[in-house]
Amino acid sequence: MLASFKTTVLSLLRNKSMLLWALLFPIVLTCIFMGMFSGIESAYSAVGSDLGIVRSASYGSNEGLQQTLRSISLSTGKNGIVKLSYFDSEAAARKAIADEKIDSYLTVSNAGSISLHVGQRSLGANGSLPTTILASALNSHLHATNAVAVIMARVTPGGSVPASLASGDGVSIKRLVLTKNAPDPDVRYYFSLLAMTAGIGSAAAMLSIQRLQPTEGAVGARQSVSSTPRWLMLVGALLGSWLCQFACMLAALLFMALVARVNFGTGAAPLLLAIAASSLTGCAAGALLGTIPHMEDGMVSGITCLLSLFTGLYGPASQLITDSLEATAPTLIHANPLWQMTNCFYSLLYYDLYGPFLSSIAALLAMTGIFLAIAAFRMRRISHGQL
Amino acid sequence: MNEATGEKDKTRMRDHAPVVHVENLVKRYGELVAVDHLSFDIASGEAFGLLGPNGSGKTTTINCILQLLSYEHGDISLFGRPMRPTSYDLKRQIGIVPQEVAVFDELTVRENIDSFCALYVSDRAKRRELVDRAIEFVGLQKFEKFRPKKLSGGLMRRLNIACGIAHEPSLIILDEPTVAVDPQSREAILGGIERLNGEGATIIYTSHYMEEVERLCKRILIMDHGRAVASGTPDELKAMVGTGEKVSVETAEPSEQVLEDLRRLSCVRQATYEGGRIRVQCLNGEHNLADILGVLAKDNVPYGRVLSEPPTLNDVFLEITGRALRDEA
Repeated sequence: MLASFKTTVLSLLRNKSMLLWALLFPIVLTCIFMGMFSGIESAYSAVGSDLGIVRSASYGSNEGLQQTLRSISLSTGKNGIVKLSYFDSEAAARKAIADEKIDSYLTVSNAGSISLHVGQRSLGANGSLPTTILASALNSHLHATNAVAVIMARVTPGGSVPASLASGDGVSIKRLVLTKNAPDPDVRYYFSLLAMTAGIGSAAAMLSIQRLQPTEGAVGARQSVSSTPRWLMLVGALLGSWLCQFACMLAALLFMALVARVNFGTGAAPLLLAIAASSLTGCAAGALLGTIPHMEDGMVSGITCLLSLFTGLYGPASQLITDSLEATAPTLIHANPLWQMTNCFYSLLYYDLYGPFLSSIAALLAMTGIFLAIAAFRMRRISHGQL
Repeated sequence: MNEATGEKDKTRMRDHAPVVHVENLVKRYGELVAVDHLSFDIASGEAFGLLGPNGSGKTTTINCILQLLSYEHGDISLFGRPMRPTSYDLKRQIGIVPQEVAVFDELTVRENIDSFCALYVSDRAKRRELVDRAIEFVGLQKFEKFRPKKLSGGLMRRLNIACGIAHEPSLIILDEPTVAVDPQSREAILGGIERLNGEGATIIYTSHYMEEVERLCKRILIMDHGRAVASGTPDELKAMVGTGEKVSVETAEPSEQVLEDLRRLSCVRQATYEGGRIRVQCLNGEHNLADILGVLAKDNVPYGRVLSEPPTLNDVFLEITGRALRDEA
């Protein structure tokens, strides 16, 4: 077994194709992602909208609105999302929006109705989210003000709403983080890439298993007639492939963590467990593929690329497909080993408890068991069969 | 007979049993009968040749002996014990040099030999000695750190042999080890096999190069269409057929009468003139050359060099099967 293990490790470490695809490819792709996604965080940011306010008598008398706006202002509010600027006339505000100096502006009519005028700039990727939040905050302010007015009218008919109640104190913006770590749009790509690394790395196990089969060449035949039992050679080859695949995934993960500064949201031990389980599943899948006659590296890459589509690796469209499949056909998506690997890393990043992570690990181990069982069955059938 | 005596008898029988015993072996690929009721025995220390054209069933027979192939019928025993796919103790005594070069491209010469040797010998110190000996045996000392792709065809074949013999097996099976090898490497390989046999190893050598088989093997089995068509020592095989020597006489073109006179001799099977020589194919006989030269003297035909070649195994094969050894099946 030790001999097969050593031979497998040595041959895989010197196999240029393996080094290129399982080790270098994820690192190169990580570099590409770093360049591509350098601005992605700001695209998903809720901060930074420029809001113009048209000063008028109605606005000046609406204390509640002013307070609400102060609470969401970047200069005064604790959870500010807008930068306020003031205009003396609506025409001046309209000109500013046309010149794309501001994203939107707000007016208060003589009757007291509030209008939010949205410019073209706010519809872009950088502006839609703060504008939505702003609109939501204003709606809340209006609802609160109306509700207080209705209640006061019932309690003290003919009386006016006290300024303290009409101020909209109840309206405020709070940042709520529902997950252990704040959602990060980049990580989806990096986690999918890690899963893809495991998928591509399965070619290593495939090659090692093929080399042990007498049907696949003279090297296999020569080993088959040796005095080492076949199952020992298989175990040695699988362990060797697993070690190499684990090393490749670890290199990719370290590069992501140290160079691309990807937040994995957890300590080293669970991450090592995640890549150990992922690489083991990849290895088992490779062993199964290795029992299929005339299977080649290119086919493994093709299968991996296809499965990666359903992990969201290829961008928003691929992520949309994955999310909709997860909602409509969860069994199908859960059967994708690469999705399970991706989910494993998500669980570590977003959940406080290890339950979901352990569920993903269990799913990966179950898949490993199934792949190895089928591989063993197939290998037994061809072990002494016809060459 | 008590149990101890019975066990002793079994051991004695095993000691005297042939190293290889094949009986009534039948292997089919669908309708094609690749090996057809083949039987033979190989004694300990013997160099045994399996000779036959391509597709005659030599490699299939070897693969059946090694249990790489299942077979329809027959018994195969090695060292007096039935050979099974899981007979690892028997496999430990076998070295195989396959027809195709079977090495790892990514490993160096030394690593390759060590890797295959490790499948038989787990002790690292002992293995180092064995690998050193194997490298020296095939003369690859200067190429230890080379990867196979940097070796010439002949050196690759030598590496292929080293990988098969490093664990010092007592039965070595060489399946056409000199295919596509330059004459210098071929000589080195054949010399090495002779040495292995001289050191006591039993050799099974398959080839369609009759001169190699004739040189190495004490006993030969000629196969055709999966069957044994003849077996025996090279001399016995040649004696089995009526073919005698081939006589070649350098001369100017003779008249048709001279050739007719030669053909009338009782020892002559065929007489032709080509390439400036009279070529005479003889039957077995004691005075063939003298009779032929007598005819030429009688007809006043001046001649230069006279060559007499003894019959070859190809002649034997040709006479038995009606076709040459190197023809395709």
